Amino acid sequence: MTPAPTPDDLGPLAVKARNQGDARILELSGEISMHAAHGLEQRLADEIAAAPKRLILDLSGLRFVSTIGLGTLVTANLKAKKQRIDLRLCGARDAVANVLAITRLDELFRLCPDVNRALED
Amino acid sequence: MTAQDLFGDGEQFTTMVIENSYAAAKEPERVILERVRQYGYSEDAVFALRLGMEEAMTNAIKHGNKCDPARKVRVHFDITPQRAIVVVADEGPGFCPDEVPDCTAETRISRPDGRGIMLMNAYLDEVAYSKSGNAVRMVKRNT
Repeated sequence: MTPAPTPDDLGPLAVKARNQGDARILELSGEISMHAAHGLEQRLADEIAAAPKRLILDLSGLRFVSTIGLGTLVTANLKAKKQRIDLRLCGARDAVANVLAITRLDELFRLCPDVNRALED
Repeated sequence: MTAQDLFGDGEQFTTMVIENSYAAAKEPERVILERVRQYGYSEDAVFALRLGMEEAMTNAIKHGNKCDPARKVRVHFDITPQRAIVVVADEGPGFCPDEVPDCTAETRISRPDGRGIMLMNAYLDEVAYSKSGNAVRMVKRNT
């Protein structure tokens, strides 16, 4: 078995977090490849466990997402729903937005064009 | 191995045999993407090929080889300026792609898995499986 990376060792993916009002914003930059997905899943689980009112994943710096990466986002969405956390994705570039559209995940997630729109009600 | 029935006439494959781990999957991915970038494939084509390879590798390591470290994954590739062919084979019993359920169905949309085959079909120019179902051939053209 491949050892799982720790949340701080996400390889080609960087995660920067900040708070704005009631919202927790995570900027994801780089790639959610098979090598980064497990670490991100753990990181998102930790963020959801902290129970912010709204969790915004800013995807504007994301260049690539694999199917495992999509699964990580779907898992986070399920966990957030259970905790009644308003999870929103925003700023996806065309390449990533296309993947979400083809898999119809754009219907599952609340997608916003940018962080400012994601902060609105 | 049964990948040979996915090799076409005149195609000349380089083969890499890797350990059954995500870490080991990095090297063939790196080599293949470096090659297609050298040939000037578009970023869209590189994205598509990478998406397909990640899915094929994940399927081979996790579903085909059942995360068994004693098993291997074989990656065969033939890259030209015109098209990239990648064949990924595992040592599992194989599967039938036609039996994989539609991941966009209402009952499955919120499941975390099962989107790979659909994305491979959407992004790659050709996707074919060996008769035994434990090897997949992917083609991406440099258009």
